Amino acid sequence: MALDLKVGMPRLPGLSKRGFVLVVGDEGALLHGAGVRGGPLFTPSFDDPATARIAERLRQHPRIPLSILFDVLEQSFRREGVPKVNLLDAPKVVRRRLEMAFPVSQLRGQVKLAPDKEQPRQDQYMFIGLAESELVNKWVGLLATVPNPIGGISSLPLEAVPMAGRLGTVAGRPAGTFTALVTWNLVGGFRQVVVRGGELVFTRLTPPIEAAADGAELGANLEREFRATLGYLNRLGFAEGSTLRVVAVLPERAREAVGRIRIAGDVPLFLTPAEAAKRLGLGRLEQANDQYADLLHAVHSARQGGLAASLLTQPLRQRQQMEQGGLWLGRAAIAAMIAGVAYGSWLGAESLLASYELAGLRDQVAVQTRLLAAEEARLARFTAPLETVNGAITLDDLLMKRRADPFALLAAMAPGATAQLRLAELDWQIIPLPTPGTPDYVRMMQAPPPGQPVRVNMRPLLLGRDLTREAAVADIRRFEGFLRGALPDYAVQVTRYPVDILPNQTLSNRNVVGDLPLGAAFDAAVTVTGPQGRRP
Amino acid sequence: MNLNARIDLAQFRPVLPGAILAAGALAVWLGGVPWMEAYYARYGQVAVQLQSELRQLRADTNARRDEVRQQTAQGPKFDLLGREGVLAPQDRLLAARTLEQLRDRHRLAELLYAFEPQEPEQDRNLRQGEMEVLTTPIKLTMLAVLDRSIAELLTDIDKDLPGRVLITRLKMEKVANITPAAELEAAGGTASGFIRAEADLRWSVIRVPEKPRAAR
Repeated sequence: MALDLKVGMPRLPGLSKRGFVLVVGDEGALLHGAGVRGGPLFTPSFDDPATARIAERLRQHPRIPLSILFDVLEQSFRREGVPKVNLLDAPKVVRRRLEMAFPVSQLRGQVKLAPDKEQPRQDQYMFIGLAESELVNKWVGLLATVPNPIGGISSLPLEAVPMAGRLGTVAGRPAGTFTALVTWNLVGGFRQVVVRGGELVFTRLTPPIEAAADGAELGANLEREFRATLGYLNRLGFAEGSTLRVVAVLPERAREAVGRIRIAGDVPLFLTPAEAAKRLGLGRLEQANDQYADLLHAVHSARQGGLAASLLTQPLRQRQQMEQGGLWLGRAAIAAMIAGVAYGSWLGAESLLASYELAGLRDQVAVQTRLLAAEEARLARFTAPLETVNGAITLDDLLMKRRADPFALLAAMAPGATAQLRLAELDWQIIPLPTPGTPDYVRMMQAPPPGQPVRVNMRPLLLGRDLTREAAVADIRRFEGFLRGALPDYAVQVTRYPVDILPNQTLSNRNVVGDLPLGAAFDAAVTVTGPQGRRP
Repeated sequence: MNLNARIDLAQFRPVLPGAILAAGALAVWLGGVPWMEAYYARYGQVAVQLQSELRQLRADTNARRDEVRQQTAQGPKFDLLGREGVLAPQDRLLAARTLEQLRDRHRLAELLYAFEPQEPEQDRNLRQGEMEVLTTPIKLTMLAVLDRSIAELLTDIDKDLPGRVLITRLKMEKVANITPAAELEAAGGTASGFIRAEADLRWSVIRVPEKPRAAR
């Protein structure tokens, strides 16, 4: 069987950390239960009584899924390019191409490969078909007789690709172009898996030899079989310049013999199954005889978390989907139930806290109500509402501000009068404030008066036996000066002098000065206005 | 159409536990959770109501406390306004009697008074809500020997009339013939003359509407 295969590594669901892996070959089957008590079970054939123990073990753990890896001779691999179509149609196209590739076998599947740069319009797939032999059908039929969920059905060499890649990478030794993994499996024989660039290019199963064969025989067998393998590889691109790293997983007794042989110019890397398991991080293999690698494959597959391909028939696929659907439904339901219970619990806890908070709030409301009642009672002692009190006080303040005391002003002016200067008439009046909003009001507010403005018109009378015009004018000017000094916030203006001496008046001797037997009498007019605001 | 077709229920057996669990989860989410949410929401609503009520009570209490503080501070001033008659209606008859008594007290030769019709002040500043200032203009004509008598009369009017009295104008003049001889005689204190005075007053009170204390 010469194959040119690339194996992409997308994993299918099915295997969990706990899972049974049944490795089936032409020479028997081996069951490994990951996470299950009890070592591996082997049966040489389906009809052997030992098979019942396998079935019994499976029935003891009905919830652990069962996966089957076939290491039989009759399995086919075909790499094909499928035209890229939309996501909805792609599965149908691939299924149709798969049916065309393997029209007879129902155990078929595919793995999507890495894109081929030379064929960008195609998706690359590897189709796998398993011949439905009696042996295969019997073991597949086991799935129907045990209650375990279906983990999947796949090809052992396909699942061994990651193992080959990892074991072939050795520190201190250059990586080969090709890596070939050779394992001696109890169920089938010698399985060769050749990988290039992490992808499967070739696999071959060679017949087993005597279980007790010594190291020399094993080494010779390895060397002989690889001569044929190299012939196949030459046709698959193994040319000059290519290197082949051979990893031989064989019993300890073959180490020396394998160390002496050369394959494609290189000494094979020798590992026992236990050493290989250790290098792969699989721990200790629970097998008494460290000769065969079946368990290594089973444990490795179990640890992969899923099979690379699913070769299920349509009924099995439906059953698996149903099981997985039920599984996920159950998980989702449990998660939802836990979330619901948690949420409900949180609500309950919050409600409990809220009830405490409510009790506290009710107490605070009661206390606050009592405080308010006390304040209301204090307020009731007052005769009038606050707005009435404030309003009345405001209005009274305004009324008081408008008041002006005429006698205080007159008292301030009184000392200015003398025996010679007397006030004959006085007219005091307040000046109404301008209406708010008017230009006069704006001007007033720029320099607001300190008090209610008033105007006083006075008529002083100047009397004296020897009073002259000059003396009268001087006296009225003295009075004016006195008023200015006594009333600094007021404007004082002599509007009429005893004699018409102002530039805009007419001075004439026709004016009647007075026919007074005791002297002269003059009168004048003085206006006092204020108080006036001072500009800042 | 195959009428004999039967649905194989056995194929659904793997889904059964999940379906039962799903039904349980559904019951939790459709039954228990909404009930708990409603239960919690009721608490939440009551808490919100109580918090709102508490906030309102605190605000009301603070407002009342502030009102009490202001009343305590302003109350004496307001009471004084009441005692001074600023808040009472004007009693014209009493006012006229007061003027006559003052005339006699200050020995005025003559006092003529005229109470003009009462009017509300038109100045918008003299309004506070429903309160307004009512003013009665009063015109006085006085005849006295001494100007001091007029001053004392006007001062006492301000004191004795309930409410506020604003003097808007005061005109005084000597009535006697003003001659140098008379003036010199008056200066010597041997002769007396008369002072005629006219005064314009504005007698104001504040009208407080009769209103019960607002319900709290």
